[in-house]
Amino acid sequence: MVEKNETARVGRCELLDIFIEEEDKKGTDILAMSDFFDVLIGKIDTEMNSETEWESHLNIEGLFGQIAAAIKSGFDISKREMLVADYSHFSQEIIDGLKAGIYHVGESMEVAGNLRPAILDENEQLVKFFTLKKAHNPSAILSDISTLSMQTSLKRISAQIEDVGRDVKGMIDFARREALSNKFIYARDRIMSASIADSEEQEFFLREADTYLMQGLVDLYSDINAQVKKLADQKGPFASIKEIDTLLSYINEDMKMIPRYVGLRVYLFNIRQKEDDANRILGEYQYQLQTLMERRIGDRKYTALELIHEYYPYKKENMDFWLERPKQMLEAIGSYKTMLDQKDNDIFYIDVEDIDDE
Amino acid sequence: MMNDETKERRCKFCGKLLISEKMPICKRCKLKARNKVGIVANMFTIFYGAKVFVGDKENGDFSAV
Ligand SMILES: [Zn+2]
Repeated sequence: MVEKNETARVGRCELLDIFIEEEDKKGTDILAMSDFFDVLIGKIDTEMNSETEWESHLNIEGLFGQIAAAIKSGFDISKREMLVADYSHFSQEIIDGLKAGIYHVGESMEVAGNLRPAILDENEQLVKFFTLKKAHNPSAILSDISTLSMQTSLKRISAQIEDVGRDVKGMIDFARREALSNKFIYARDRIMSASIADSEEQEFFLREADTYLMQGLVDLYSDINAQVKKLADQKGPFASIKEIDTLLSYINEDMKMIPRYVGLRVYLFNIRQKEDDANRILGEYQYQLQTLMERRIGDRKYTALELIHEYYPYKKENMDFWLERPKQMLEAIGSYKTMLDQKDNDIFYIDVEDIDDE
Repeated sequence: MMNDETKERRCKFCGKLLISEKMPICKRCKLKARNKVGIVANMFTIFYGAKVFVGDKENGDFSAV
């Protein structure tokens, strides 16, 4: 029993070793650090693979539609089994290609001469090989695989906001950024302590880390609402584009920081095997986005996201982002709960290895 | 006819989807136009203000600005 705990603790230390770059360890600006999602995804991936055996499922006939659906949105539970895609390794090009119907799921001949599952183009030419794996012990990895899928969704949300953020040229206020990064920095300190502590201390440090992350999130949620209110107040003869762009860039910064806080909290709760708490954190994020999307502000003519949309200087590629994308973000977050409910179902994992590229 | 009314409307200047504007222009483009008018009005004042101040001597110099 003692031995088992000891192994679990060592595993945990490994899982908590998430600050890798110099900036991540010592920096004070969260937006200058790595976005951590790849690190978290890598860690969960390793843990998941150690907790169950996977059987390579070569016969994918009858699953083409489900596989395509899972690659497009990260996972599919339309039938009895749950399919989760290695979302972070499928390029946006493949996802868009499948959505547009240019690519499809099928099989392609390997150099060795056998057929392998693959993404193909209109001329049946190979785009990418993948492997479909079936979990021997689905219940053991359900929580990991749901978190994995959630982290990849948060990574995508974060990247999309980063992208649309480049369209606004507001002023950067470093003091503001640092103030909003503070709680993350405190939490980082506790996580680093936890990664070298014994199990009792570890739990204590992780609880402290979560308190800081929670406070940081509360600050961000209220800041974003305050900025939106200022945006709504921008009217009359003194309204200026310059002022509005500054507000929009603040809103962007908040929106970029939030998934990082949320992602880390969810990750830590998953390590502590507190799925209900992880679920609650995502529920709060969902609620905040929903409020921005639905509650009318100022003169009650617009919702916050509509107002941001009205003032946003889009580039062609990002047109209508704030009107369209948050809906998809909400769906992605909502799916976490749905996934956790799939307790008795088979789990398939659509795995992509980079070396498979020809 | 019903279709024309419910058809999505986009800003004539930047192309974004409009929500409830009566005019086919989004809030940003509207404000940008107004800010520009403001600048032009200011320049107009400066130009004429300066012209009155400098007098006839340096007539024409302003066209280069
Ligand atoms: Zn416009």
